[in-house]
Amino acid sequence: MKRILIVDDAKVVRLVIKQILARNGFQVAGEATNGREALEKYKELKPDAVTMDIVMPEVDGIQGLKDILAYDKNAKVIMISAIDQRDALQESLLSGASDFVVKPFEDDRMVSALNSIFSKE
Amino acid sequence: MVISPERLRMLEIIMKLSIDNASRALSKTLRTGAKIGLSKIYMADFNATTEKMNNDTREMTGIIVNFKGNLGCKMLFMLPLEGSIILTDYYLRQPVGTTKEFNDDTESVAQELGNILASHISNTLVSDFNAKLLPEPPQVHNDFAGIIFSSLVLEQGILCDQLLLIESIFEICKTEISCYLFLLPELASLEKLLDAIGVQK
Amino acid sequence: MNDTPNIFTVGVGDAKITKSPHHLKTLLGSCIGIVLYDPMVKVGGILHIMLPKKTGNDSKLTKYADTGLPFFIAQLIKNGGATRNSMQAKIFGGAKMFETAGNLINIGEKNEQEVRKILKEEGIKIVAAKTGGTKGYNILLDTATGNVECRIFGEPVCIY
Repeated sequence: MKRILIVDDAKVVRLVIKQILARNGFQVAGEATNGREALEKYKELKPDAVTMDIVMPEVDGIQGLKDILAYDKNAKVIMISAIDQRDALQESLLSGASDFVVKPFEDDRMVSALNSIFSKE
Repeated sequence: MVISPERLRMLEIIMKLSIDNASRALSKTLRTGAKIGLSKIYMADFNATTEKMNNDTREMTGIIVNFKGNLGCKMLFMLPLEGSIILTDYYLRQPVGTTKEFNDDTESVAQELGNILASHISNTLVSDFNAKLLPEPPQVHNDFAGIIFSSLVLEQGILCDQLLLIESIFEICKTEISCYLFLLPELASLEKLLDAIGVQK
Repeated sequence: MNDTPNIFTVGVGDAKITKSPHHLKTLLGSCIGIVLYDPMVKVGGILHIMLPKKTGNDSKLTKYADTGLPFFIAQLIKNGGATRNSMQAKIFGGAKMFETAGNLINIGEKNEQEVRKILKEEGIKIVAAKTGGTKGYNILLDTATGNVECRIFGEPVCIY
């Protein structure tokens, strides 16, 4: 079962993502509330993929994405954010994000994003 | 600083588009309609507005978001305290009445609703207005309505007696909840943006 | 002036003065509300200051403690018939509110320090104070008695 690290500063968003993952055969590896914590948890838990919010306190999600990819160039990180702007999208994809899901989203959108990155293995 | 009627009209259209997008995102997030009951843009006298709002002692949840970028702007989303408890159940897809009081989940839902609204407002302003605008993490605070409103306008009120306010009311379908959305752009940076896209002074 | 009590509201960075039997009210977050009252002539006022010190050319004196308080005291004496010796002060507000206010972080504490300093210099005694915390204040001055009804958000009403 694939293990996912959930990164979002809002507790209820993490809760909703956890429920979607559980319903669709994924396991939650752990949770983090900003980009700095995300890197720490990534090193500690070695998840198969990460869902990463962008707007978070202290270290934002784009920096978190860059830091995780600097540590592990094969990391699979899906950005999940309400920010739907060209600059954020380009910076995320150029930095190595595997996908970009805009909030609010249907459960299927996130699940297909995860299935798609694992099917490429 | 006074803004010309032509510029005000242009702003009204752009701001309404951004608020429309935000309300659609809110409806989708809550899985119930968030209808815009009123939307207006106006110059407000700081003293008269705060005097009027200081009569409003309703207990509300306020979510303030600062934006960073080339347009100085703040957003306030304010709803009755009981309303934020009901919307927690909507957000978490659980029967209304499950959440009994304002707790960590309620605060987190308020924070996320603020994030969704602010992000979608900024998305529209970035694409239609050539602005660079990203929301910062929202801050949630429960208090009297008048005090929450003052917190939004305080910093600008020190610098200037006239404020440009964009005010909308969202009615949440199947509930009696009215939510208030205020946008407070910083006038000098707004004028620069209007200059850049060639809107007549 | 008629005898039916009216309630007047004070805006942010503003001041109002009235006589018995009228009331004054305001809401306070990080701002400080200074209630001055002269029991001899039953006249009182609320000054709602936003910042400790005036900077720049802003003409509105009542936004700032350093310019607002001397002006407010002079108005109470000149227009209200109060005397400096019998004037009493009560102060409220100065809470820590949203942290999005940039330069205004911790402004409540700085406001209170400046208000206390100026009242001391002006020789006006503070007879009651309720300040700080993280929630807003709803205050109502009754000029017939000088009592101030104060309700902090989420707490019961207290009389000062």
